[in-house]
Amino acid sequence: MRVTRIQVGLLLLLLYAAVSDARWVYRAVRGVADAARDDPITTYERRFRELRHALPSRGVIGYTSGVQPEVFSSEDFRRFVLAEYSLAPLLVLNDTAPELVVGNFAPDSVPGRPPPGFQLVRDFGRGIWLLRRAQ
Amino acid sequence: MSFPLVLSAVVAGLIGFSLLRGAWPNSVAYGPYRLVVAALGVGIGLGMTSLGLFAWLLLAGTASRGLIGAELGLLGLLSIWLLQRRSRRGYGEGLGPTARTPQEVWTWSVTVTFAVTVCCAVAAFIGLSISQPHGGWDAWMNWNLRARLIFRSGPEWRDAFSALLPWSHPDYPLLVQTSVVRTWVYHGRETLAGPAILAFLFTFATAALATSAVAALRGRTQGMLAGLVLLATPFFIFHGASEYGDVPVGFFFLSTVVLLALHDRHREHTSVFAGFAGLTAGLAAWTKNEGLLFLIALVCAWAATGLQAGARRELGREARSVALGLLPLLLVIGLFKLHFAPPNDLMAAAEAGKTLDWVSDPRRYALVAQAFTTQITSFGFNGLISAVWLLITYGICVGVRPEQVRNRWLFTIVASVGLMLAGHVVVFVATAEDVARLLNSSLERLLLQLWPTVVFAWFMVLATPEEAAQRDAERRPAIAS
Repeated sequence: MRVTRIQVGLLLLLLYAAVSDARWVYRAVRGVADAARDDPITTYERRFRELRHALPSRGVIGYTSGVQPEVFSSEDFRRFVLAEYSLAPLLVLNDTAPELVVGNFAPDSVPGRPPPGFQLVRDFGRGIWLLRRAQ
Repeated sequence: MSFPLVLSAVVAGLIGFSLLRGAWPNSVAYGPYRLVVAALGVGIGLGMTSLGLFAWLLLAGTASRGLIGAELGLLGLLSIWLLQRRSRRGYGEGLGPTARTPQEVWTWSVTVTFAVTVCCAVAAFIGLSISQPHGGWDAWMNWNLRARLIFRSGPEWRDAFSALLPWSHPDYPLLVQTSVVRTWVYHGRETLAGPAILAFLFTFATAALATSAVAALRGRTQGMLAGLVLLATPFFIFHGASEYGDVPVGFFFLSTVVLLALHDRHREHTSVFAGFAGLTAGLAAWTKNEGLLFLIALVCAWAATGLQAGARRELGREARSVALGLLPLLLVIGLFKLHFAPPNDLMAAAEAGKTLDWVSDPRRYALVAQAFTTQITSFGFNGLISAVWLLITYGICVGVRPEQVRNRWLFTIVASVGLMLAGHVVVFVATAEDVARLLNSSLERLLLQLWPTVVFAWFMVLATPEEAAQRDAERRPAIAS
């Protein structure tokens, strides 16, 4: 049997699709497995649930994670962005100028006391603090 | 998936479909384009309802449920308009019957593989949406965050564009964000299924449009091959499920190109398709800033090819039709950019006086050239071969159809894509502080925006398997003699 160029081309396209199909089946199965557990962002957002009730419904608040914004790693930035995502419509500034400041610390780097010039309003646990500028 | 969410999708789709169906010219047969109109209707409907939500915010002051009544009222009016025009019958120029292939087994194989790939891609999309229900990084940093800010702010929705959050790109156009808000208005509260359903609609409407348009213009098997390549491109499905704006803007690029191809084919009878091409080009600009670049590239390329063909009078007529669809969108985009959006972060950096240093640095050009070469040649790699090499190899196997290569719309699209890539190079070289990081985070997405258009154009130009087989059969006796 003679195989033509056209058949080779079509075979290549069909093989490409078959390989992708195998990947799609894997992703679908993984999705079914993931359905049983919360994704990392939903889990992360849960940390802010109680804090949201303690904050005003609108306005601008500050943010500190103990790391200076200039030296933020990708993970530090991700945590900051997710804080805004969780606390919207409040506008979260990445500095401590506003009167109310959210402290969002990694569980293993929670400071022993509030930063100078701030008083702790409440510790919500899991590295979440609400701070107020000291009078 | 709640009933209100399904309703939001159905209402948007029907609004888009009614607009297209109602405006469909008498002189063009509707039958062969039925699926094209359905796929276009989904995207155009989502675009129009996004504009509707923005108008509602401006007029009513908040994203309230009154919007649903307004949309249903609009749909009712469009239905009456459609019914009034129901007696119309397109005489149709006909597209000619699709040639029956002498290689039935291949047609059958393509049909089965296409059907399997559609099912697998849908299942994978759902799986991905379950695994990351908030979408990818940019979805929660920009698109869905902005939707939350608008929805949760109530009457203070303008705060969503505050310059206090420059990292969240508050200057980005609003099609995706307002469409997400719209699903929440229908649902009555926020739900992660809202952005997911929107991403699903744009992803699969893009695949449906590429498939149906090639099928209508070049034959069924060819259409399925185009759809197959698109649905099997890993990044297309992965990124579609990430809820970014790249797949939606890619949908509008493709829509514009398809409508220009229809205009090219039926230009002697109607200029309706040029008008809709203006509308979809405008919706691309309402989706992402890259849409504005597309618009400029397209207008330049279209005018250049028209002038080269010596068709000044025709060009004027086309310009009027395109403007009819485009101008309302430009007004809305202008209103948003001038009154709501802060300056673009890249442009703001460019104003800082660093641009001259950047454009005179040869290392930046080398970096950009290397990144473009690598990304383009490896685009769509699925473990077997990159989709770009796949298409080139397949093209060598079947060859091109010479009549298609001479089409004006094709010159326009090739020139537009070339201008867009050149524009991206300029943006990378002249405006990015950290060009390596920006290339790493955005180049593949920029290529994805153009991918459905490239796949459509490629399969329009290539010979169908049937034509290639016929050509081979004709050559063989000639060689033998």
